[in-house]
Amino acid sequence: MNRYLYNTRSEQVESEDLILFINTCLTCTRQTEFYENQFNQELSVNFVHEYILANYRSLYALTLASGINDFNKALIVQNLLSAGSPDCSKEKEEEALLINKALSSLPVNRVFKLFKQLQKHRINNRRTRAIIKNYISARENHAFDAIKYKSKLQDISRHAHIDWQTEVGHFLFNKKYKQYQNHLFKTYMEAHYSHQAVYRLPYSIAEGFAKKHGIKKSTFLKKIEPNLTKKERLRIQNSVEKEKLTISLDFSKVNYTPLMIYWLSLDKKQRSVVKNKFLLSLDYHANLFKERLRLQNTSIALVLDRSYSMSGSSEKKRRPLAIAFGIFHLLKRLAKSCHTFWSTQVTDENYVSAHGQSNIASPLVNALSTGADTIIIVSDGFENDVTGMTAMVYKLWKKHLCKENSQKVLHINPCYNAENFDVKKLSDDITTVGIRNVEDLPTILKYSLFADGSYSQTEFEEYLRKQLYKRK
Amino acid sequence: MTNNTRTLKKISLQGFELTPSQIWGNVRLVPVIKKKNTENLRLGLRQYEAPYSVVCLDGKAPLQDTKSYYYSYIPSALIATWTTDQTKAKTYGCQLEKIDGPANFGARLEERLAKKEGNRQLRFLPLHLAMEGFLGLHFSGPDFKWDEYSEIAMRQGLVSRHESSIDGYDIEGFDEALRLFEIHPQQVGVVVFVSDALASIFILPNNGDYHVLHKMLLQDFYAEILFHYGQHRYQAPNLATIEDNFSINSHQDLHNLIEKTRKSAQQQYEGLLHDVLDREISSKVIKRLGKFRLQRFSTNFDTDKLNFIGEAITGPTGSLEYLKTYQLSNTQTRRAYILKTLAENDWNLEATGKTIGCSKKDIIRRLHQLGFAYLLKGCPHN
Repeated sequence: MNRYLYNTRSEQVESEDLILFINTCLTCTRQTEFYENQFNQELSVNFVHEYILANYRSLYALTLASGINDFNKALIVQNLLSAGSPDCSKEKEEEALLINKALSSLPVNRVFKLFKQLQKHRINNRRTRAIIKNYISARENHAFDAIKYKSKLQDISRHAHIDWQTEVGHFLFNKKYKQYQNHLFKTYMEAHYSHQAVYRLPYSIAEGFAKKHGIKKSTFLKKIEPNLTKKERLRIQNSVEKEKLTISLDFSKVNYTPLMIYWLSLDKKQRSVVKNKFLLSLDYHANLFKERLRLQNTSIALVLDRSYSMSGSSEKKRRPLAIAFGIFHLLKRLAKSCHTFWSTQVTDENYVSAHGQSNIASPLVNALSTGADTIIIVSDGFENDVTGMTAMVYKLWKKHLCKENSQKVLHINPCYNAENFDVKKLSDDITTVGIRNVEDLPTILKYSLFADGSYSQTEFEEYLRKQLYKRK
Repeated sequence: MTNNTRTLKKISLQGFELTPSQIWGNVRLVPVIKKKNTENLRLGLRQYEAPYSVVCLDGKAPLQDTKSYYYSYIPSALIATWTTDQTKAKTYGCQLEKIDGPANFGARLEERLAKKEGNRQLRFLPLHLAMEGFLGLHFSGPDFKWDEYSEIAMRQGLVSRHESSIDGYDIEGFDEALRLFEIHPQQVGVVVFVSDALASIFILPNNGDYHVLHKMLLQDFYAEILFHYGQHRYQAPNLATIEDNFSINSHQDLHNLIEKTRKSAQQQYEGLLHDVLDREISSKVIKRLGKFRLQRFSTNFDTDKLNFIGEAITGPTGSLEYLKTYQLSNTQTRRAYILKTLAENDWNLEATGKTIGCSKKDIIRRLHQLGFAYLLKGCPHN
């Protein structure tokens, strides 16, 4: 970190707090990690949020514009609503804008979960109610929401005093009402008795009815196929395979990180069947990132950790490895040149798995010796062959071999370390940023400039504000 | 080749490489790497449904015909398979075989601690083999009728000798350390330290076997003292010393520095192990497995030094193929030492006292303290 940038000690502390907070928000989702359990993660992330909210409220809200992950967006909104609205009208206005933007960028299931949390924590001020009402009234298909999220919507409606003037009100609260005009409600009522009606409902609801009617799983999956969303298609691939069926899955329509996780979950035989299709879809995905990453003139060397700890936990199975694997495929296609060095040798890079010790130092030296402009390390920060060697290698390299800042080293960490409220660093001198999805890579590369001290805090605030109003 | 040249004299880790340790709290696990796997000897695991076992030591089942038994909690056995030619041995568990029916009584009955099962397969109970040797020391008791000894001691010797141990689950943080441990691709064994005190050395012939048997370290038994070491709030330090004034002129120098650090780590671990590596051991061949020899060993129970027992399989050139050690606690060592000294002095208390350098009264006090009071007349148990 370039400490000369900071004029006062307090400025430095503020900046460090903010870096720490954004790293947390980019990485943590409260899920179990390889080295830590859910309780520690939850305790840690809640503390960081409370600390930042109490000390830097406007920055806390402004973080919503920085491309952090959905879990943290929801948590920030929840905390802001529970803290009441700010006194200054200008701040109030900005916060409202931030919250509304955040809500509209979140998937609907997460927003409803957030509203449910507000009910659970008894956060029921006027602003909260207004925000919930606003969000619900802006939804396009109330009937669909009511069917898919029935119990949540019931609770939310009660909590925010929503007065449903339509059939939705009957559907949620009036059990005796039967004469629906809306075709979705009609189908829903029919599905209690008719097998055919089940297949006209959304998958998650139809699943329950199928169980009630005792429909065979293979028949059900075959007939429900047209109703599946792209995420559901990916999620049920394995159970579909067990039933010896096939459900078409367009790899280019699936999100990038889930696709990587899916690929790594396949065994060798399954991978060889879909290999060509998978590699073609990667070209397509890479093209989508081309404009945002702009790496055509940058040569990159990658140091990728594939040690056993990168296999993640039962909750985020293979996600850390999937992120390393995803970054590798993306940069291979987009950068001017890309050399890759794995922590332990890999014979075929498409069949990589999480095994072996964490040897970061040796591949790092190899990466440095390629002379690439940017060296990116993807690792969970737990190094054991030899512990602390990366820091020493980097320090010596910087002192003796590095020519005038021509080469930059960046450490991207997919695991949150609850103990130090941040992602774990390999070295204090290497800029470390967290990541949750490979899709966030452009945001993270931009943010890394702030994290390594190239931008001051005010500049970063300006950048966030620009992001906020740009999307308006 | 005679048997003599094939017994282990010293434990040597030649041919193995100790790589930087992985630390979790006070547990330090040092991976043991072997560049070339042994293919014609493999070890596999047989898990027992009824873990409590009675082993008939002279191999004469049923129980009533047997004169000596070994009772213990034995959750699993190791199965060695080998070939005598160049072909690769197949690990136990790869073949189709009949599964034992459900256990219908509380304890299982086994014949012998190491038993051949067909031509190329041997079943043995890991560590129990070594422990049985330890318990059997001077088992028959006094062979002279001195006044001090009770009738029991003269007729039945040491009666039923017993030692108690703990399993891996009882060492705090050990299960977590094993779960988080990152196995090297070429790893064949591990050295376990708890609070930097040696708990066990475990080496197998093949890296594939290690992958399967890694978890078995939890089921193994350890000396009681390790329970206490496990309770220490101690953070095992990273022993690898990194030289920061190393002259760096090229990227190759950085590689050299990493290599040097790894070497320094290995030296540190060898330093921690010097009590084991420098000790002379006496060993005995138990079974021949083609060109391989299964043997158990123990140190000389010198009370000033750390003592251990264990078992090993050695190859035709004397190379270590399998090794498992059990660190004796100080009390266990003292028990073995006093029995050994008594036997050396024909069980004469006065002469023993002279050898050790204390009075006869002290020897009697010691026998009481070490749980051998029942050997003497006037003991409350008689």
